[in-house]
Order: sequence, then C-alpha cells, then structure tokens
Amino acid sequence: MIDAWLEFCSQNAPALVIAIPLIAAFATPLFSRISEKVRNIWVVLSLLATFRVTATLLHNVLDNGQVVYTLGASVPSLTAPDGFPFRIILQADAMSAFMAIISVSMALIVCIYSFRFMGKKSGLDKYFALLLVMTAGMIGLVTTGDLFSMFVFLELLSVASAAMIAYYSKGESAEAAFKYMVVSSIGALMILFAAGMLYGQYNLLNIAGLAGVIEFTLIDKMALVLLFSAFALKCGAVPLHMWVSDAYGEAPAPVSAFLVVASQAGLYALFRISFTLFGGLPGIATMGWAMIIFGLLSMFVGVTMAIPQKDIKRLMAYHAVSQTGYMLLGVGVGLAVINDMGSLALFGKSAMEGGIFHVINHAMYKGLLFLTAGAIIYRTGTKNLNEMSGLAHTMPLTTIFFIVGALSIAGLPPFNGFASKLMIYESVFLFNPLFAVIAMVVSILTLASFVKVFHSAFMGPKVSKSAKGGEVPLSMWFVMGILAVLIIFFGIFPDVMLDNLVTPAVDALLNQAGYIGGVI
Amino acid sequence: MTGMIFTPAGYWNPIVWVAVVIIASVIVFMLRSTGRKTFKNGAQQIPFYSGNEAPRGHIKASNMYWGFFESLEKYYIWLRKMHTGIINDYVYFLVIVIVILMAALALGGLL
Repeated sequence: MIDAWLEFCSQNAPALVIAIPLIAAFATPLFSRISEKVRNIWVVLSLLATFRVTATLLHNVLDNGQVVYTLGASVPSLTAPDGFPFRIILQADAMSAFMAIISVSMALIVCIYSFRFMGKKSGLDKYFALLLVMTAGMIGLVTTGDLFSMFVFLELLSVASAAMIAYYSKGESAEAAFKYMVVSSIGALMILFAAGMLYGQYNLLNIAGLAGVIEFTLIDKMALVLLFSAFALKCGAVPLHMWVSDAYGEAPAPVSAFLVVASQAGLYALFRISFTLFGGLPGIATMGWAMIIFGLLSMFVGVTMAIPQKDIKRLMAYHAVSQTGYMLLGVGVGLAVINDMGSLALFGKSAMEGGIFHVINHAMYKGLLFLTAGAIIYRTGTKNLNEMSGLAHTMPLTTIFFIVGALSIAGLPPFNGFASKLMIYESVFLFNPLFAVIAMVVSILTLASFVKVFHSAFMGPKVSKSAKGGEVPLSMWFVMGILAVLIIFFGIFPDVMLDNLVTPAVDALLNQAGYIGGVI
Repeated sequence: MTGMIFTPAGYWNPIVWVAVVIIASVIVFMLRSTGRKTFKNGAQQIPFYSGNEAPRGHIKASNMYWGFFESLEKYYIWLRKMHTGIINDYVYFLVIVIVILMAALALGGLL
C-alpha cells in the first residue's frame, strides 16, 4: 500500500509539488477554525509532504534526466501527440529541481520560525495560507515549461507576496505592498505581452517548442527585451531594484527571508529565458553583457546604499540586491561566452557554477540574516540600529548566528559564501580582471557594512530596550541554528553541493537541445 | 566529500584552511601562556588613546564611517536623488532599461 502510494507520488511528482501547497493553502483557514495548534501542525505537515515530493523529483531528475509531465494527457509523458505541444507541460530539469528544493526548504524554515515570531497576532490563518500560496507560486514558476503558465505562477507569487508585505497594515507596509504590486503587475504585463508576441507568430506557448522553431525575427528580439527587463525587475537588479528595500524592509522578518527566494525565482526565469528560449540567438552574447552590467551595477549600488542605512532590514535588503549582482555577474559571463566553446570550457562554465552556487548560498545566509534581524526586532521592538546596543549580553545565540551569516555574506573562509565567490572571482578574472576587482571590493564593503551592524547592535553597553528579555524562543533559534550549521557545512564541504546539485543545474541550463528534446 | 573545489586558477581546500587556523590558534595560545603573570587590574586596563581619556559610551550606527561618506559625498547625493521612493520613477527606470536594451541589440546589429 505504502509502496503503491510512493510510486504514485514519484510518477506525479511535478504536479504534486504545486498541488500539495496550493490545496493545503485553501484548507488552512478551515484547520484554523479548529485550533491554532491543529493549523500549525497542518501547515508543517503540508510543507513536509511538499519537501518529500520535491526531494523525490530532484532524485528522479538527477538519476534519470529531466522529468516532463503533461497536464490533462492520458499519459503524462505524452507531450506532443501530433508533434505539437498544446497542453500545459511541466518540465523539471536539474536547474528547476535545484530551485524547487531551495524554495520548499526555505518555506519550511520560515514557517517554523513564524510560529513564535508572529505569536498571537490576528489573521495568522491568512498568513500561513499565503505562505503556502507563495510556495506553490515559486515551485510552479520554476517547474513550468510554458510561458503563459510562467506568467500565471508569477502573478500567484506576486499577489501572495504583496499581501504578506502588507501584513502589518501600517502606513509604510501598505505603501511598500502597493509599490510591489504596481511594479509586479507592470512586469507581469510585459511578460504577457512578450508571450502574446511569440504566440502570435508560432502558435506556441511552450518554451521548448518555441526554442525549437524560433526564427529570431525583430518581434522575437523585442519579446526577448521585454522578458529580460521584466525578470530583471522581479529579481531586483539595479536600476530596477527600488521596490526591494521597500518590500523587504516593511514585510515581517520571516517574509523578508522568503522574499529573497521569491526574487531568486525571478532570477531563474531570467536565466531560463536567456539560455533555453533564446540560447540559439546568434547575438545572445549581447544579452550576456547586459546581464554582466546589471550584475556590476547591482553589486556596487546595492552595497553602497546598504552602508548608510540605519534600519536593519533596509540595510539587509540592499545587501540582497548586491548579492544578486554576483549571481548575475557569474551567469552573465557564461552567457557572454556561450558561443565561444573554448572560453566557455576555460572559465564560462565555472563562472556559471559560481553564480548558481551563490543562489543557494544566498538563500541560506541572507535567510539567516533576515531571521536574526527578526530576532532582534522580536526582543527590542525596533528596527533602528541607533536604538540598539549590547544585544550580545542578552542574545548570545542570535549573536553567534549573526556572525556566521555576516562572515558568509562578506565572503570570508571557511563559510559557504566564500566558496561561491571564489569561483566567481577567479572565473570572471579571466574574462575581465576589472570585474573581478569590483566584485572583491564589494565584498570588502559588505564586510564593513556588517561590522557596523555588529558593533551598533551587539557590542557596547546594554540599553533599556535590549536589556529586557533574553534569547529568542527555542523554535526561532533552532531554525536559525539549522541555517548556521548548513552555512558552515557547505563552506567546509562545498564539493557536496557543487557536485550533486550545482554542476547538474549548470549542465541543464547549457543543454538547450536536451530541454527541447524533452518535449518535441 | 573531500571539501575541494576547482577553479580556473587552481583549487580551494577548506579543510586545509581550517587545519591551519587550528594550528595557528594553538601556537598563539602557547605564546600567550608564556607571558608575564604580573598583570594588575585597574590602570593597565584603560586603553591608551593618544594621551587623552578614551571616549566612553557607544558609537551609534549613524555616526560610523563618517569619513567614508564625507569623501563620497557627491556620489551619495546622486544616489539619494535616484532613490526617490516614488512609484512613477520605478516605472520610468523600467522604460529606460527597455530602451537601452533595444538600443544595445540594435547597435550589436541584431535588430
């Protein structure tokens, strides 16, 4: 019986990873009516089930190559009955599965942290329902093989995220949510418009199908620019990053940690469009350069905007922008040399590995840093660094976790941030030494910024606000501890992540023919 | 699970790094333990601050890196002007980016 059930889950994993959190989200308010405890157990069990199925999907993808699932077909593998993929097709390769496992892992961590952080606030049934909707939106976005579904999942993610940002319903949070909603809607409209432009020419919405027949007409290239800009907006690349500090700064701290992963889903879409849909465009290297410039601007502007901030969450939000720059730089170098096999083998692939490795590292250390910021706010009731002092006296564990996160984001050995940054520095150096120097300077500025936070919040004498209370509750520091341990583990054993997840993800991204062949 | 990763310029082995840090820490501890044990509490604990009394209290976040912001004042004025917080400006930037990317593709001979 159990074997049959596991077999069913394995065969239908691409659909279940979206369906489980989505159905669980709608059932959450019902469980909430029974009791808070039952609701919390329901949400955790739903996310554990999603995690289990996502892990199965990842295992299948790594063992047998990409998994294709056609919704509504008599046989899920029947993608193109008449040589024409007209149904909604979920297509999970190593890159998609890599992003999906990051999303669901962070969802679980954020969920457990939220139980005590949100405490007895009202509307928590909606909070946890929206958390599950965000999870479904992210996983759907990274596993869909269809441009229109991508738009739908992006909208699902954006609407749920906007509602989460507005959770406190104060002036600033409502304003941040409004800005996020406007920016997301305009970005989504660009995507819808681009999908329409492509559909009008080829009668196709499937990414693999489109990649197989695309002729790179003027309209196609305009669609590329619209998609590229819209996803750059969603991932918060400079100069399209303005919403990030508002949204991350005003959302509840665990939501900010989860928004980091939501932005990374936008980054995934940017990579998928550039490598898979338009990978065959003769001048795609131009877009690689655009990605590099976005990366350099994001790194530098992000970190220099972070340093003067006195709101701890806005400071961390700008650092999120800065770190996105590293990913764009690494993957952008790969895209810029995609048609030069020698350079791709010499440093391009390694730069991409660094960039993709940084995605998961960033989810871990930025997630941890937002959670430590949440712990500080939980105890002191303020986000203002000027009102904090001496927290190390009363919150020793949070202090240790903050140090681990800060050293990792600054790229100091032996933490995981160093491993991915080293790969980016050394690969990018061979492409252009100046870019590598900029990346290193940004790391130094990042360290300076976190020294400021450490000094002002944790060092010095105790002040009245920080003197009360002590360490945060067990469920909060426990999940921070898990992230801190993972950061150290993957810093000391980066090869585990690199060999098992990152390299297959990069290979999948570069294998355009394989992605097309999965459907057609 | 060796911990090693390879880059185009060589390799990185965190386990060796951790081992070196542990050995260096042991050496530092051994050197420290050879120090004088005649240290007295009180006057010797006051930090030397150019002959002046060291400032007491806590330096707030807003007062840190003053010199950095002074030397980059013009850059920061420009940066703050850019971050208006007005939603219309966010959309203007998107339009500007789209135009620049179109121009880049045209200049690259792709349009």
